[in-house]
Amino acid sequence: MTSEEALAIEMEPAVRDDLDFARRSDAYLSRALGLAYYILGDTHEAEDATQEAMTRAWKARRSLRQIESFDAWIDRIVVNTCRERMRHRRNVREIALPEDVEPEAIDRYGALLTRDSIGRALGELTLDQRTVVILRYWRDLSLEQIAERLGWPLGTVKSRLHYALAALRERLERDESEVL
Amino acid sequence: MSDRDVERNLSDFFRNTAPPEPSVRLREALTAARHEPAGRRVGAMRRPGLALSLAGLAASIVLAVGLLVVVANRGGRYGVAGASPTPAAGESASAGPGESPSETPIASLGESPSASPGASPGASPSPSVVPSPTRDAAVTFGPAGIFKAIAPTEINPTMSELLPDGRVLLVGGDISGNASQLYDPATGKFMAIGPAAEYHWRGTLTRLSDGRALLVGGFGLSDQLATAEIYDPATGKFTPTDSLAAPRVSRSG
Repeated sequence: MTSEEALAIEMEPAVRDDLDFARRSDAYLSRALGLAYYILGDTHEAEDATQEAMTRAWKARRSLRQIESFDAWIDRIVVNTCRERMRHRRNVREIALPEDVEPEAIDRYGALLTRDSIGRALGELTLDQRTVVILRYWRDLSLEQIAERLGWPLGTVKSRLHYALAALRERLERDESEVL
Repeated sequence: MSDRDVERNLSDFFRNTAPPEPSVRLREALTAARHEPAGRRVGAMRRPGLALSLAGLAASIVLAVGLLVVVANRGGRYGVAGASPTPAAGESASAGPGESPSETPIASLGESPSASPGASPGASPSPSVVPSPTRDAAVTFGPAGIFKAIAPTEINPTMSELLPDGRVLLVGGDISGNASQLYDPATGKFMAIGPAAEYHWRGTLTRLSDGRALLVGGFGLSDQLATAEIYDPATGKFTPTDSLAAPRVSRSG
C-alpha cells in the first residue's frame, strides 16, 4: 500500500472528496482559464471570471454527483460566469484610456487575439457562437460533448456552429478582398 | 473559401495563440477560497437533546464543564440549535446550520460580539441562523444555552487546545498570515504568540502530557503537510519537530 492509499483510507470521506476535488480543480485551472480567455478576449477579465467560476464550483462541489463529469461541469460554470460578465460589461460604460497608455502593455494577450484577422472575426461572433467554436476547435470536443457541456440540444449546437463558420468565412473573405 | 478553410484557420489560430497561464495570484485566491470554512456541524454538547451547529466556525473547545469557547470567522454565520433527536444527517457538509427542519433554535448571537459585549439574546425563537459578525469574534457558549461575547480575535484559527494552566491555544491564522494566539479565560483576553514556522490549516493540535502542544499536518498554502511543530507554553514558541511519513489533515470538523 502506498502512503497515498494509506492516507485515503484514514481520511474521512468528505475530506477525501474535498481533496480529490481540489486536485482536479488545480489540474483543470489552465483549461478553465483558457476557455474564459478565448470567450472574453482579455487576460484580466478571464482571471477574474475563472476565480469566480472556480470558487462557485468549490462551494457547489457537493452537487457534482459524478466526479467523472467534473470537466463538463466546470466548463459549464465557466461559460455561465463569462456570460454573466459579458452581460454586465454591456451595462457598464466604457471609459477611454489616456492617450499615452499603450493598450498592449495592459493586455498583450488581448492584443494578440485581435492582431490576427481570424481573432478579430472570432471577437465579432455572438457569445454562443464563439463558445461553440472554442470548444470545437480549441478543445477538440465533439458536438455531443459540447451539447452536454452547455446544456443545449444537439441541433442547437450544430446550427450555432454552422452560423459561426458562415460568419467567420464572410469576415475572412472580406478581409482578403480588402488586402487585394 | 470553404468551411474547411475556415476550420483550418481556426485550428492554426488556437495553436498559435496560447492562452495565459494561471497567475500566482489566481492560484492563491482559489486556495484561500477553499480555506473559507463552510457550514458544518461541530458536535454536540454533553446535554441530552442539544446540538450546536455553527457555520463559519473555526475552532471550539470545552473550557470547563458545559462551557464552550467558539471562535468564528469573518463571513461566517452563527447559529445554535437544540435538536431532538440529534440528526445524524447534520454531519453532512451540504446541510447548512439551521436548514434542517428538525432543529429548533434555543439561542442565537445576533450582532458582532464586539458591538455588543457581554450581551446576547437569551432565547430567540427564530431564526436559528443569524448574520455574521463584522469581524472575527469569539464567544463562549454556556450550559444555559446562551452565547456570551468575549474579546474579538485578530486571527482566524482552525485549531484549539486547552493548556494545563487553563489558557486556550489557538492556531491557524488565515491565508494572509500565519498567526497564533492564547486566550486566557481569567482575563478574557487574547495574546499573540508564535507564529508557527508553517501555515497549517485544519491540522491536528494535541496537548502532550508534559503540557506542550503538538501541531501536525493540515493544509499548507497549496497542499497537505506532513510537517509537525511543538508549542511550548514555557517559551511561547513553536519548534519544528520530526515529520510524518505522509501528510494528513484533521479528521474532525
